[in-house]
Amino acid sequence: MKMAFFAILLVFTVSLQLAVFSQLRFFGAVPDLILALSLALAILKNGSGVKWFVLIMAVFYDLTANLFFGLFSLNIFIVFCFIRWLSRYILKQSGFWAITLSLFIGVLSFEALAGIFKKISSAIFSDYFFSNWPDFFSALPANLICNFLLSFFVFYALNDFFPDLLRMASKRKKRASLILPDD
Amino acid sequence: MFSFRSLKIFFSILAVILLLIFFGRLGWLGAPKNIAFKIIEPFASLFFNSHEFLSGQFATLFTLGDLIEESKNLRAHNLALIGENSALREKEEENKILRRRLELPLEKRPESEIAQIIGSSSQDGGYLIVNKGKNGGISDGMFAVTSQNFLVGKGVEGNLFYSKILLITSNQSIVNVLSQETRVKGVAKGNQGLSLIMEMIPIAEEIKEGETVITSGLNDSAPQGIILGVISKIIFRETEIFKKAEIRPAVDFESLEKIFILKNPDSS
Repeated sequence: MKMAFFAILLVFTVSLQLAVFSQLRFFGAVPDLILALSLALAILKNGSGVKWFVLIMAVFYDLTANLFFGLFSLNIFIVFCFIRWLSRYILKQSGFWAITLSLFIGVLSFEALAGIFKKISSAIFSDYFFSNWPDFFSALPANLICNFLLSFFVFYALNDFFPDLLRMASKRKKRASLILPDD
Repeated sequence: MFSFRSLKIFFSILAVILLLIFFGRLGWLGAPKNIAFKIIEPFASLFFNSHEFLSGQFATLFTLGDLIEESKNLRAHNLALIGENSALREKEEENKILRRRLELPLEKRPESEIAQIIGSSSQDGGYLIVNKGKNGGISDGMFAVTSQNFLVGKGVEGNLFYSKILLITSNQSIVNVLSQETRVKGVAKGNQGLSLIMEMIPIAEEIKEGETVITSGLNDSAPQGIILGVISKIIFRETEIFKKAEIRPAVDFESLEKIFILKNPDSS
């Protein structure tokens, strides 16, 4: 059941990102569903299986989107591990502000790493194109807001719709239903 | 806080990804890319078409007021074009007769392959992903056009089952062009995914706003005469030895569903 759920989730997420989300623009920002799902899973789901799921999803997107292969997978995997570690050891609480902060840090680190990886790649490989830092920084605020809001939405949607499939870490099982402050 | 085992796994995965990046650069990931694409294609195609349909419906709802005025203008424009079209057909017939008389071969249209768009991205300056690759005889460097003969972009990084079409508005796109009326040659480069800039126009050459810009056919696999767009602004600085012109693309990239890939005569 879980295996089938994650397989469907993988295909749907990659297809949606490729065919729909990559075309959407919010003040120049492109929403990233794969990033949003990875961050949500990093906070919500325990176990080593989810790490492989996120990795396969990112590699799958890298393969189908025909981007410079590997940069996206590398970025997503590092950010996923970082947020997972952060939510386990630093921001242990499952309250609203701890989750909000984790999601924001996740999106920020993704954007920062994306810029760094692109710059390094364009320096190493002459055929790789990186516009420039001013362009990157001008698009950054919109990207941060857009992907943070999407991550936030995906996190609470997953938590509300699939609470059984996405059981929290054993320490946090008692507080499995994430509660908004006004609840 | 960090167990040796988890650190070992983390760095092993990073090493594998870096190795895959290296393999990707060597072009060894063709088979996995084709398999992944075959799995994703039906779903991506379904989502893409649904998105196009829904966004079209919403756009119609929001622009209903402007549609009446636009329809009136288009009808007037259509009448003018019918007249122009009829005159051009006559000229074409006359051209054919003259060619026969001079024993010149008739102009051949390049062979093309229709392809369905299944994805797009603004990354790398903007591109489309289409469902035809080397299996459909498509190779890198081939140009993609719409059914109205408007230039969309150029094929890059093609695989067995799909191809990536770099849009003409992408920063990496360069096409040799010609202004249709004044016959001024230049190079059209993409401008941040928004428009095109025609460069290398000598100062002495006269070029007009509103002129149509077409491919010149020089040094490209694109035949001459494919429409890129219309000149919207001429940029001239006294300190520079060349003029520039901004081109408004003829293609509405948002509403594209199918495109035609022009095959090179020597590839078929």
